[in-house]
Amino acid sequence: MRALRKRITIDRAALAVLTLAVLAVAAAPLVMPYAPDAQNLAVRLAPPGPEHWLGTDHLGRDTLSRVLDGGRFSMSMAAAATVFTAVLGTVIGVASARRRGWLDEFLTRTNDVLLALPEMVVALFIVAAMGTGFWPLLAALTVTGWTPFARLARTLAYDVSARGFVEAARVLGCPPSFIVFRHLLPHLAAPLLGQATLRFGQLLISVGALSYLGLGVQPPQSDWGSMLAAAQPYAERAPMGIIAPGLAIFIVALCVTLIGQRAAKKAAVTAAREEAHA
Amino acid sequence: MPEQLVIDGLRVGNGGPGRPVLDGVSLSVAPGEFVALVGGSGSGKTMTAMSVLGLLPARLALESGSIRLGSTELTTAPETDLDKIRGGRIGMLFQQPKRMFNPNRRIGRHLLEPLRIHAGLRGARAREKALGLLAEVGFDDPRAGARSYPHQLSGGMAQRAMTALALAGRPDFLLADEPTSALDKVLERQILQLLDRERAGRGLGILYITHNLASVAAFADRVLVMESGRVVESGPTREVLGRPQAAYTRSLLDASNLQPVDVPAPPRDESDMLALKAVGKSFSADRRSKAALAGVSLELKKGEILGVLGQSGSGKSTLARLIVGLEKADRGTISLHGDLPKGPQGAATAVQLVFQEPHGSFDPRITLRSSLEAPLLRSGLTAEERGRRVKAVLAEVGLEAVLLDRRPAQCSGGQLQRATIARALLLEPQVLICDEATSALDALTQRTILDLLRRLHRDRGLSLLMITHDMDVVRHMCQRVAVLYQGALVELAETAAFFAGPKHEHSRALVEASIPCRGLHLKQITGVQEASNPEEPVPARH
Repeated sequence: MRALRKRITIDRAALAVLTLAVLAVAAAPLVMPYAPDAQNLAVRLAPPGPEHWLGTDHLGRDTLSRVLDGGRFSMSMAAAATVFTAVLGTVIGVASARRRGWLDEFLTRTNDVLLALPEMVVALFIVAAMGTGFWPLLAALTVTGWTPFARLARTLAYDVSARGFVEAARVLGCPPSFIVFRHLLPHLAAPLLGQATLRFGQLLISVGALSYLGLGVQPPQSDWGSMLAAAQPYAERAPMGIIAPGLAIFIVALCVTLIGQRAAKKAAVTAAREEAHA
Repeated sequence: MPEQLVIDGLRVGNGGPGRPVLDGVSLSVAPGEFVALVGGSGSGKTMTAMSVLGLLPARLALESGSIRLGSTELTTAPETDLDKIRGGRIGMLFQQPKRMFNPNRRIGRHLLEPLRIHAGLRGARAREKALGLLAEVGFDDPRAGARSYPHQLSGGMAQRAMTALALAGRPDFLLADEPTSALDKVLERQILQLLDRERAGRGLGILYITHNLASVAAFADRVLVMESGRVVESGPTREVLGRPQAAYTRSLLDASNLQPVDVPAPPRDESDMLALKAVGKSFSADRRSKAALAGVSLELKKGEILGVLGQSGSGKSTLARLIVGLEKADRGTISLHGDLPKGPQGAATAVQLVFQEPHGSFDPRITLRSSLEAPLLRSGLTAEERGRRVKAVLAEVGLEAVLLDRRPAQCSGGQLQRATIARALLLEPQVLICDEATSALDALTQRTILDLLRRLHRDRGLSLLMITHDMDVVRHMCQRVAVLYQGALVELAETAAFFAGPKHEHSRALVEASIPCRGLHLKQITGVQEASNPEEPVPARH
């Protein structure tokens, strides 16, 4: 019993829950008990029960099916935005540190300006200008979201560039691609990964917030944010309409953060061990 | 009352099979005694000191043996007792003092901690005592010293501050682990004299760990020689160094005995390989050091070995970095013979640099093969040709091809420094700049690297610029010597003439620092006569 308890660590539990969530959402068309947009006005705002495990919304749609279906949009959007912002931010940060001079100045000031503007307002502006849908939303999140990655990548790249092996590579005339891909990026990977998992949670919430404001997915498609918005007027009669999608956002964000922190920590330990000598 | 620090039959290993790291090490230090522990890197010197303090790395464990401080057994003492002993009864000096300070704390605050814990001093009295300690270790202005952050101190001052910290708890014994190997000879002597004064003044027992036999000869009463975890020889300094019994001691002594060797002088009409004209560089206020070069003009002739001497912070490394293009000069010109390509942007770099810290100049994440092949990636060679070239230079520096699949952490410092040289040779350079290339290495390894450099100089006609603070290396290798002091070139002379009569005040200080203080000059003990340096030893004991 004690051995079992020892093996269930918080990050293993998080990994199990997240895997389950991803599988359920990915396989939603197969496992959903109802079609997500099938209305049944006879059972509007039903409480959880044997027919509808998580109850129904104001149009009598099955909440469980909608949570599973909505997760597809929320999670893929957050994941895509994480990847886009991480890649863009890393490219900008490494370019800053490599080129230095006016480009570094320009990119860093741009970063400062974006940081000074409320993320949500900028995103709202972009979505308002480009229209709604997957790609405009992704663009909005990417434009506002690259800054922390760029800041981290720039600082780390500056740091690694000052180390002996990068200076040696410069003196030896190694190609810049070798310096960037073999020297810089491997040393940047672990901290950036940690940052990415933190950002995934935040982006999942941002996606929800934009949808909540009606700027994300458009009906009849739904995601967790728009479900929250739709269920809000009926919060007192059917609280499960808010609790279910809210809890989904919370649990997924928490699991990713926990797993990412753990992975980053492990990577840092491995790196330290590789570098330790004597 | 006199309580000895006794280590008896100490065995330390990783708990599994295989050779133990320490195998039956026994030694003792009495109050007022200066005991030296010498040996090559990896011989277990540092691990011996760490065992005393109960600070062995996690992968190692003490298997048997005892460590006693007076009547207290340290190996079984609980951690709370060890906390009182560490810094209280046994002080410790480390090799890289700057890394041992918290960079966000002023020196004064560092000192208050041991004063509070071990001497029970607080407030004004502790502050007063801290200033007293700083004055004692040679801070001209203790108040300014206490106010400064670690990065504001020079290497020598940082080691003094570390000494003050180690002495703050008024320890009976001091473990000094290579406290001066990163410092130049002048500073080394000052630090060792400071320790010796404590020893003579109040009976501090010192265990001095080093690979520098000259300092052992000058200060130590007794010496123990370690080789791969065993003490192979021990006895009074004069006997061990004068009549070494163990083969290992003899090879250490041979390697330390760097005699001037006849290097054929380059022909007079030989053209300049490298010419610096009024080169100046100053770092703006936000750079980490304000060390600068002020109008240095210097020529390196084809096939010459030129030594560049100077204290830490004299601008030696800046000079090297400017020549290879890692920094840009503010003023002056640096030109290569026949406008050879140079600098990081040049496709074939005719000037190459060998760095001080071999472990730092290889990426810990990638194999030596990748590191070594990288400079050839732009040469248009096929992968197969690159592999052949790498193997060829590796053979030239005397390394086996099996090393190619290892990572830097799996190689010794000497192997890596050879690999650094091999990597530089890949590009067929005309000039090789060695920036303290051997000062992080033990005497045996240093000797092999120096021999290698001499061979390359002879076979390839390389011009060498040897940047160092080690007078013996200069005397051993160089035809001419340049001395840098506070960023300016203060002397440039033929090596023999330089050592016979240094002109500049600072040059004299450098040359004099190799004169013995308390004990003897290594060369006197070992009976090697010195024709070119007829200085009289200073009388023993101050």
